Amino acid sequence: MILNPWVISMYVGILGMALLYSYALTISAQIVRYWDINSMEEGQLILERKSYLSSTIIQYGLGIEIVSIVLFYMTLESMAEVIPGAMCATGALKANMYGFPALFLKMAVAFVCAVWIIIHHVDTKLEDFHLTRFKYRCLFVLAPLLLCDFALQFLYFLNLDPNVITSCCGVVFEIEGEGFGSSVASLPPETMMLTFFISIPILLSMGYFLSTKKSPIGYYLYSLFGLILFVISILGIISFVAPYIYEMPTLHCPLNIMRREYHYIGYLLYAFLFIASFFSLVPGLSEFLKRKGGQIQNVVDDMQRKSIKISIVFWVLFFATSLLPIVLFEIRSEGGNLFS
Amino acid sequence: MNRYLNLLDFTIHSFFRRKGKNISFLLLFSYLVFLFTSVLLLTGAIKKEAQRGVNALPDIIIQKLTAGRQVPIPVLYEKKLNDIFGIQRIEPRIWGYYFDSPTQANYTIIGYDSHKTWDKELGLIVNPGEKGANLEKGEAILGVGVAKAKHLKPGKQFGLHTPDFRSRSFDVVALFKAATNLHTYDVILLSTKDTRAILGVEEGFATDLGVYVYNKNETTTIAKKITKLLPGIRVVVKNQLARTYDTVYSWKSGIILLALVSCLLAFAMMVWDKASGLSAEEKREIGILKATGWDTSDILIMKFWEGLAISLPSFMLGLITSYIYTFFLGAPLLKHLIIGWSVLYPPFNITPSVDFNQLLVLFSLTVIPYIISTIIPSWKAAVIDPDTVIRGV
Amino acid sequence: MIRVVKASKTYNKGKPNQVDAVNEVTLHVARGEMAVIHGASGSGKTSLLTLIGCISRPTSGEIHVAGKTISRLPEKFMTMHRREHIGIIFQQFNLILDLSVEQNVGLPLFPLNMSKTLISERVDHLLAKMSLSKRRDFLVKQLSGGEQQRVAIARALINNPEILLADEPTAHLDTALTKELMETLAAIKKDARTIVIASHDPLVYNHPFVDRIFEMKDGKVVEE
Ligand SMILES: Nc1ncnc2c1ncn2[C@@H]1O[C@H](COP(=O)(O)OP(=O)(O)O)[C@@H](O)[C@H]1O
Ligand SMILES: [Mg+2]
Repeated sequence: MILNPWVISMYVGILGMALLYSYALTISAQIVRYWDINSMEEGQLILERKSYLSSTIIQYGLGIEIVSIVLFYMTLESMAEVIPGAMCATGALKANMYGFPALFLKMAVAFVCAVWIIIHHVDTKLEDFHLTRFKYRCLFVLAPLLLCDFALQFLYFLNLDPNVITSCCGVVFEIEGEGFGSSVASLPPETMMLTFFISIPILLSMGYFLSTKKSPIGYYLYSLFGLILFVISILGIISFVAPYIYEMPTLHCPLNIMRREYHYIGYLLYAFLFIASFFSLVPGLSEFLKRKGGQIQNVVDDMQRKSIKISIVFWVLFFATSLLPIVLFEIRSEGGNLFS
Repeated sequence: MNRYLNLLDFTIHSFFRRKGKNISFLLLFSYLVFLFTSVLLLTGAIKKEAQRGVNALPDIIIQKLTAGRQVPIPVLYEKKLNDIFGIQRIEPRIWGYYFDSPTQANYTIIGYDSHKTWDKELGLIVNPGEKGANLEKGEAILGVGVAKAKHLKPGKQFGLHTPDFRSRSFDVVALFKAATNLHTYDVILLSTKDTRAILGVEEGFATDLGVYVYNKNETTTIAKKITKLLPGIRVVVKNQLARTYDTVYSWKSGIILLALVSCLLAFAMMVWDKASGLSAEEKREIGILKATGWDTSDILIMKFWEGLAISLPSFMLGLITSYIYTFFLGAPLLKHLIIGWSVLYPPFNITPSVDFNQLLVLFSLTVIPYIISTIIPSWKAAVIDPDTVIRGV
Repeated sequence: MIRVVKASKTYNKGKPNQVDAVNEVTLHVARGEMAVIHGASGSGKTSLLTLIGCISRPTSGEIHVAGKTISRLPEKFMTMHRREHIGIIFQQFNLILDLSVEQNVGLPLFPLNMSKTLISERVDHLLAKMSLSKRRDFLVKQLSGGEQQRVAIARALINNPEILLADEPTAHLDTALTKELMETLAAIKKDARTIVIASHDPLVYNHPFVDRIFEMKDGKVVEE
């Protein structure tokens, strides 16, 4: 068990949110059970007002979850000084079996919150509350996730033993090593770079096409491509962006790029990536919501066009930021090749 | 965008309409932020300082134990280790504790040869006396604490006893800089020969052996090899020391922070109470806003701005006052609480340093709980029914 | 413009203190008309106005205002509809006393996506119309009753509504001011706005510009 300011701050936030979430869930349960838009009774009016509260809570919750991911990373960094063998956050994560699941779960929670907020956003534009029941049912998906999030985090810190030696990112992302991290790190950087940069024109042309023409399949494809691009981007960061940032062909750690030594460039990179992926999801998801009928059709079109624009802006920003270290390296080394 | 700006504008205006209540609240909150920040900044600074001392140590220290107690180690052991790949150099260190009966205090005597590693660094941490910072036989460099206790300054003389009760006299040539107090407060630096004489360490022996390695990542592996080659020897790895420091101070600050978190809880409850107990006037106002065309979500946005209008200035104010308190005033009271009440503990200067991580932690320890505790009250305010309010009953 | 069909509003339904404030009211007001709802205190005038004004939802019946059925709308859309089509002058003025005249009048526009300068322009224009320009930066609590009344009217008109609702607008005014107010309302009517006034003041319902009078009693419209 380790007690330090980072750990405490994480618990304060997550505990507060847990209380609010459970309140939001009881409201959701009432709504799912008693919601009746044809009723003109006072009870229905009260439910409508209560639904404001639970959606507010989830929106604040997303914000706090994102802060908590950053905090988790910082806690890991601070743990790295305490855990033998760990020299960075990756090492701290490997210190016991709960580390990586905890991190991934946190991201999943943020993702589900984000998706929920998209549905909610569509719903608030509908005069007939068409999605309300559906959206509060969806909220129940969040409950087990949050519970696990809380539990894993707790287990992780509880089981941190300062006497157990762990491995550092140099091992996890070692080219000759075994395991998932290593296999990503040993992807050929040139191929990855090619894939990475071919995706840009594809995305741009898709975006352009969809801004001139409405196409349901196009929207689905766009969101699907967004997801694929998200994965490619993460792999790309590990396989060649990070080495360029460190200017070391063998260093692949995707977490250390957030350090001060590298001007916090990682934060920028991940922020752009997550915002871009989020808005890439909107067209497909809202296309799916259209199938639920009602007045959704009219509301969603505008949203789809706008979110495609926003996502393209952030994808471009993301690609530009990941190009930056490469360009800088090329200028400094006068056209050298980092990987040869 | 305009919508948010207009609402912000209105919120700020309202903030000043209720100056009295808001400002007293703001001050209270900034006091809380001040407490949190001070604890965090101070422990951060102490850890850094301790870390710096640890950095100056060899990567691995080898000690000989006999009957469980540390005894001088033969310098010859050095030869056995020469074959281990990755060792940069091995340095015998002569040092130990000395009980000084006139002042009834324990000092740390460290042997030092001018030509060896410390040379460059010594100039940095010493306030040179008349002679400069070279150490020869019969000369000593003192920590500030020693000089104070024995009323010494450069140019003066003092005496120490050898184990066979002979007295030797030393010239004080320089004092350590006060900035290094945390590590040098109780130190008497003598030439190696003199140190051997005072501490009774014979030629061919040393207090311990310091091992420096090329690649810090290999420290643990090399330490393991040393253990295999020299059974019955204690091998201390520098990282372990650093970790101990870190853990100790993290625990201490953690416990103080936990105490503060209970304050925070009380505060959050107060926020809750204050925010949900809307005055009749405020209720009427929100009712009017809603009746004239404000939506529930507009009131929620307004309340969000209101939360920021109180918590952000409080946060800034708390940060700034704490920065001054910690780094300019030296954190009186709090410093003792964290380091311990020991009188012997050196007064040391705290070097200012704040980083993004600390700010984020502070933010999530103070502003986020504040915001969380306003969510439900804000909602309660936002769903006020305009129907009842506008009748004015 | 306004069509109410068998609308009821029941407070505290199913409880011992149940009140049928509005009871199966049916009425119709055409575009550009001035209608007066007349009735004793407690007869349900205010309640009816809040129904028409999208401030509260009926417990049964249907209400159509400015081309939309509002009786089952979520609160958010009721608010949006009100913002676009309806201005209300409240019985108690309902001004925020320690805000300036300018802010009080501009209040309904703040949540809209409108720049400050645009809001300011609109406010100035209306204040000039209501001859309040000199009082622009005064706090409302520094104004006289008649001036406060005009601020309330200005605020009700700031969104350029097609429908103006006024609840006992003359309750706090003397005879001279009441006449002045009716002139103002008559002028507003000329801009092709529909006006509904709840009042039991003879100076109001006997005014020549009034097109319709509804008599209310115990929540029912008993006579037109
Ligand atoms: N929020 C409420 N809860 C319970 N009863 C109410 C409420 N508002 C109004 N009433 C009742 O409804 C009836 C009609 O009131 P109101 O519409 O204000 O009449 P008027 O405006 O004609 O004086 C009254 O008996 C009043 O007491
Ligand atoms: Mg009334």
